[in-house]
Parts: sequence; structure tokens; C-alpha cells
Amino acid sequence: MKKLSFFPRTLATCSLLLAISACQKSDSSDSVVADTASDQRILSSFVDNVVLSTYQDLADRSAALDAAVALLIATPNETNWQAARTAWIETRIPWEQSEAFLFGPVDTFGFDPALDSWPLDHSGLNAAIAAYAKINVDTVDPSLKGFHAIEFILFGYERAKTLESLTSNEKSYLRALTQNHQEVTSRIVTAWKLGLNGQSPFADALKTAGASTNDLYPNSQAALEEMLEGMVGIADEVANNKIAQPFDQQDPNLVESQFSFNSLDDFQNNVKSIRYVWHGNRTGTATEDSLSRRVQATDSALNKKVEDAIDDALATLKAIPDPFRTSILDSNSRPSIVAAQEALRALLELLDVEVRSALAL
Amino acid sequence: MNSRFFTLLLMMCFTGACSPSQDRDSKATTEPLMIFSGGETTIKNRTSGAFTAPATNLNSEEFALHGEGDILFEGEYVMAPSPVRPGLGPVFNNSSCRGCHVRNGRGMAVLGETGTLRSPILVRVSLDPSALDRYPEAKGTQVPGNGPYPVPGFGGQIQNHAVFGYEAEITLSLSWEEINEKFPDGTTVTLRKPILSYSGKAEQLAKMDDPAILRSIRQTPPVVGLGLLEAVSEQTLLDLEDPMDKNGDGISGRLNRVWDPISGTVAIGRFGWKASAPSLIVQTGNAFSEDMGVKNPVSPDADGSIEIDLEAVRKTAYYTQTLAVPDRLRGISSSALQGEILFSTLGCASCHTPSLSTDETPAIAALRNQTFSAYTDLLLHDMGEGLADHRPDFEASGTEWRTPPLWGIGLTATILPQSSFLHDGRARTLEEAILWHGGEGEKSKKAYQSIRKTQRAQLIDFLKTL
Repeated sequence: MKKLSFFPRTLATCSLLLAISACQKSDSSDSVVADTASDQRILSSFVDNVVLSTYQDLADRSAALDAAVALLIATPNETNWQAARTAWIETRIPWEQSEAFLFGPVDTFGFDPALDSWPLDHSGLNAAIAAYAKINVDTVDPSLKGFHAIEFILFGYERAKTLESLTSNEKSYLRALTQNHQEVTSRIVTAWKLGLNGQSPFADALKTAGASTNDLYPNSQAALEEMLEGMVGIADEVANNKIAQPFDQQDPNLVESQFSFNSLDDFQNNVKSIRYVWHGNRTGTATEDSLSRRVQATDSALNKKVEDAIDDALATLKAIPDPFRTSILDSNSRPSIVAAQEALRALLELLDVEVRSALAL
Repeated sequence: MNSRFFTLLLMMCFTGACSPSQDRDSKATTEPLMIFSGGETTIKNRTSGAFTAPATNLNSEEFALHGEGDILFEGEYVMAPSPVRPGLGPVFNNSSCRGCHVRNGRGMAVLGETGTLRSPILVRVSLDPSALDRYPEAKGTQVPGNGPYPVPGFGGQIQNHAVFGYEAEITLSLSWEEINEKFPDGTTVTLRKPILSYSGKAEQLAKMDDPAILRSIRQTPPVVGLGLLEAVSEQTLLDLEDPMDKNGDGISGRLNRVWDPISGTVAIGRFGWKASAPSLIVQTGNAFSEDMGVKNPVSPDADGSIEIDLEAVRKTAYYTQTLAVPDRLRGISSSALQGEILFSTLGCASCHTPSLSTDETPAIAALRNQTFSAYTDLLLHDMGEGLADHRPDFEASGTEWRTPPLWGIGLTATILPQSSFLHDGRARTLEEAILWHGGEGEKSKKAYQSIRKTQRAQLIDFLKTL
């Protein structure tokens, strides 16, 4: 899914021309060499301090979720029940913080649908729970597994699921799901660090962008553009899909993470994901080798605009009353939802137009 | 890229001359540098998302419709009944369009049932008409327009996955046989070709032992620019045809003529590896039905029932009609420039036609009066024994294949690193793909093998700029 917001034709034509003129500039071989080295430092920082850090965090938390579910099944008491639910919410954080870079193995190996298919197939899920023993979770439809299938079993409709109502079959299917979740999240780390199925590590493809032997990113600008597209893509997705679809259609069933009431946290973590990519780390302060610092060097006002737009998007999302699935139907909440969409669209356009131009992408 | 080009480009755009209408008489020019890869639909993007952007010249209505189609193209279908996208299966190859068309690009030669990838390639089957006496139940089932005979129990392709509670028709797996190809200068390249194997019920396995069950592996093709190819007028294609090789260049491209279930007539075939689909709506409807088991008005169930309406098929097709084509790399190396000349002198451009144009008639305004660089003539060519599947498809013989477009081919690994080339994904590199050319492409392949190694690298460099 891509670019759900409409840019007028003149703008598109203009950015195409700008882009081609940027190519023109890179014809000078001296600047290309210098830029490539600098680009590669930004890419390395992004890969090591943002991508690998986030995915390792995800794999660790996914393992903790599986352990919490194992404990719940072994000793089903209220403490362990709440711990399992909390572990799901904790695992959700790095996943949502990875959504500004939904490219590479997470997409090409089908890990994204395996982890995060939405909407959920409710009737299929009930059938799967009833017959869990015959199901290979690794190959089952993505709509029957991953975060939201686990969420559905742990939280139920209206977050009203209780330990007492958790059936034996649900427990078994839940465990199969969390085990699979852990396997898939660790495969993402492997694909980036070591490579899967004979492929070279995806981290290397980005870090060596611009090398003549690099078939994926034969020029480093394309790899920086990949980073930018990732940020633009998630701003677009949150404003124009995750919020807009249920809000416009007034349909709570389309709200993501609706069982746990975690939707607004999801969205904020998506925006944090943009900030981390922009900063080249996950600390909240930009590293030297980052898109932020590169823009800062030539246009400090633009860098501040991006930071402010991220802050604004976070603040407006935070101002929407929880839970989101109820807020979309409440006319009193409408202005806050519209304000968040506007803030996200402003961030989107800032990145897609001004930042793209400043980075000569 | 040189400044002359850029100046010219600016002049063209600012004088309104981007419209290629002045070029309408020359259907196949040899100056692709002067045009954007996808005409005015073109986007400048060399990332893994390069095939996923809407055409840049859509108006707001077209853009909105594209967005609706995008959601349908991306969505996972599930087993009925379900409130959301029901209709998958009971048997299928994959559960969403994007499941095979990963990031809208070329697929990958994976046929496993494990992991999360399912099967981004599939196996088409048909019955050799000479065996009809052994399969009397197939009599009278031939697809109209002299199409293939479905195989009893399989239909037109093997669905190797099933929804929960059902069994796949058969389980397929893929292995490779390696072959060494030696050049006049001593260079050796290892090629590979696929070997299918089967497991499942005895009755189905027995069929796969029968050589009268013709089969052909098909890898997912990229989906960008399809609207432009659909919008090329029939007359343009008829003008490109040279079935008797009257111009004596050793190349005798011809159009496929296939069944159009919507009009109920025979029509020119344009899409698919053998040009067996006449339009994108038919291609899309058949893919819903055959690849995903989602029955629809283009391809309903045997009892006439449907699971999605024509509007859903139309919107999904519309998405594929209105994607942007990423521009080729500009400012390219001298090696790639030399390669572009070689592309022409070695004869590659004879079938991989560097440019085509549309006229003012297409229904979608964004596709009218466009000149673009798809590098295809949409014609069938005999590609020799090496590539043959020996499975005729309407008028396409067992050795004929439609020239695949080359636009965006340089982005193949960027979009999907596991991807490979040709109809069954056998070619791991562009060079391997070239070396599989036989038949009408034999002369060009030989020429490629006989030039210097540095020149061969130049040709590949050029292809990577596309």
C-alpha cells in the first residue's frame, strides 16, 4: 500500500524534475565518492542503531511473551494472566517502532503478514482454535496468527477476556502462536544479520550501498531514499489507513489492536519509529551520522520543522481519548482525531517534499 | 545523463511537448533516452517501493480509484464465511495478490509449503488433445477460441495449497538440474533448469506420470506499466507483427489470439507469459479464481456462483492499470551507454522494442497519448527448445513466448533479492537469461557470446539501468 494522499500533478512533475536535476549534480565523480562514504555512515548508523536494535528488542520481547504464556499455561493464576497480557503490549512496542522501515526481509520473506495481518479472520480463528492440534501455525493463513490472533485470545472483545473463560484449546493454540511468533521474529534478525536461504545479510546491502558489486543499491542515494520512503510510508499509513479507514467508515472492526485498546500506543510508536530513523538511533537525540544532522548542516530550520512535526504528531495522537475504537464513533472526539490526521499529513508532506528536496533525493 | 538531455527535457515539459503525439507515426523508435520509461506516468524512484506508486499523472478521481484497488490488491483473502474478504480456496496457490506480486515485482522460484511465502510460482496444466480418448470426461471442455483443455481433477493449473479442512490438489516441489554453457572465449556459465516433483494421492500422482498432462511453470511477472501495454492500439500491434518474416531479419513475431470471456469473442492476447489474457480485467479475474480460489463474474464457479463481484475485479485491475513506471537511471556510466548501443546492434531491440505509443483512445485519461520504454513488442516468438514448455496456449506453440517487458528489470534485486528471471525463474542473473535465448533469439545470443567480456559487461550494465 502506498501513498494514499493525493499530490497534484504539478507537484509530482516538479519533484520529478527536481529529482532529475539532482541526478545531474551527482555526475561529478568527486562528490559522488564523498557522498557515498557519508551516505554509508548514515546507513550504517541506521542499520546498527535503529533496525538491528529494534528487531533484536522485538525478538527478545517475543521470547519473553512466549515464556509468559508458557508460565500462564503451567500455572494459570491471575498474576500470570496479567503478565502474559502485559508481555503482549511490551512486544507490540518494538514492532510498531519498526514500521518506518517495512522493507527488506520483513516484507520479502512474508514476515509482516505472518506477524501482523489485519483484520483478523474471526470465524477462521475459532475453527483453528477448535482444531489446533491439526494446524501447522507456520503455514496457516496469516489472518489466523501473529500479533492480533494472540491479542484476541488474551484480551477478547472489549478487553473483557478473563482467565476463567480461557479454554484449554485456546491455551494450546495461544502457545503455538507465541512459539511461531518467536520463531518469525528471530528469523527477521537472522535475515538482517546473517542472511536467510542463501541470501546475503540484508544489513550488508544497505551498509555497502553504492558499491559497484551491490545489486540491491547500486547507488547510495537509492538506499537513503529507501529510508525516506519508509518514513513517508508509515506517516501515510497511520493518517490515511490505520486512522482513516475505521474513522471514515465508522467501523470499529477495522481498528487495529482493538482488543487490547492499544491502538493509540501503536500509532505513537509508529511516529517514534520515524523519529528514530531520522535520528539514526533510538535515544531521542540525533547521532552525528543521521539524516537529521545532514539536513541540519544545510537547513537547520527544516530540521527543526521535522522535529516539531514529529512532536506535534505525537501530542495530537496522545490527545485522542482512549480507546480509539470508541472514540471514532464519538462526535466529541472527532476534532482530536482530525487534528492528529492533519498533524500526520503535515509530517508526511514535510518529509516527502521538503526533506526529499533537501537531501537531493 | 548529459546536460543536453536535461535541457531538452525541460524544454519538452515547459513547452507542453511531453505529450508524444507528434511521434505517433513511429511505433518503434531507437531513442529511449529521450523519453521517460513510463511516459507521463513515470516516477523517479530506485528503491524497493519503486513499483508501488500510483502513476504521477492521475487526476484526483483516478487516484482515489487506484487507492481502492490498492487495498484489494494488498488484502489477504480468507476462507468463507468471514466478515472480511471471504472466498479463499478451498484450494489455491496464494491468499492475496501481493503474496505473489511481492512489492509488485517479479516473483521468486519458490514452491514450498513451509514458511510464510506459500507459492509465488505456479504450474499451469492442460490436456494434450491427442489423449482425449483416454480422458473422455474432458471432451467438450476446451476453452473457447481453440484454447487449452483443462485437466480433469486439476483444471487449468495446480492449486498446491488448501484452506483448513481441505487437501491441496497435489504438493509440488522444485529442484534444479545444472548445465554448463561454454563461450567461444572459454568462459563457462552454469545454467539451471527446473525439475518438478510431486507428492499426494495416488490418483493424482498417476496423472503426473502421464506425458499427455502438459505442464508449465510460471513465475509472477512485475505489474508496473500494464495499463500502458493494454492501451497500445491493436493496429500498432498488428503493424509490429511479421509472422512470415517478410523483412528477413530472422524474427517473425506474431500475436496470440485468445478467448475473451467478457466480450465472448476471440481477441488479441497481451498478458501472461504466452499472451493468453486479452485484458487486465480478464487476467485479474482469472488470477482471483485460479490462483486464490475467489470466484468472480470473469471466472465463476462451475455452478455459476461468485464470491466477489465484477466491481471488485475491476478495481483490482484498475490498480494494475494505473501504477507508475519508475524511470530508468539517468546520468549513467559510459559502460551502460555502450551497452545500450550493443542492445541494438546485437539485435535484442528487434523484439524488446525500445518504445511504444498509445493514442487518444484509452479509457483512462492518464494513459492517452503516451510514449514509453517497455522493451517489448507484445508478440510471440519461437524461443527454441531450451526454453520450450511444450504446452500450447491458444495460438502460442510449445516453443513460443511473449517478449517480456524489460522496464524496471534493473530493480529486480532491489525489490525482491530472491527473485530471478524468465517464465520459470530459472535464470539467476541477467546473463543466464540471455543465454537461454534460442530460436528467433539464437542469433543475438550467439552474438552476445562472441563479443568481448568487457562488452558483455556493458550490455548487463545497460540492463541494470532500466
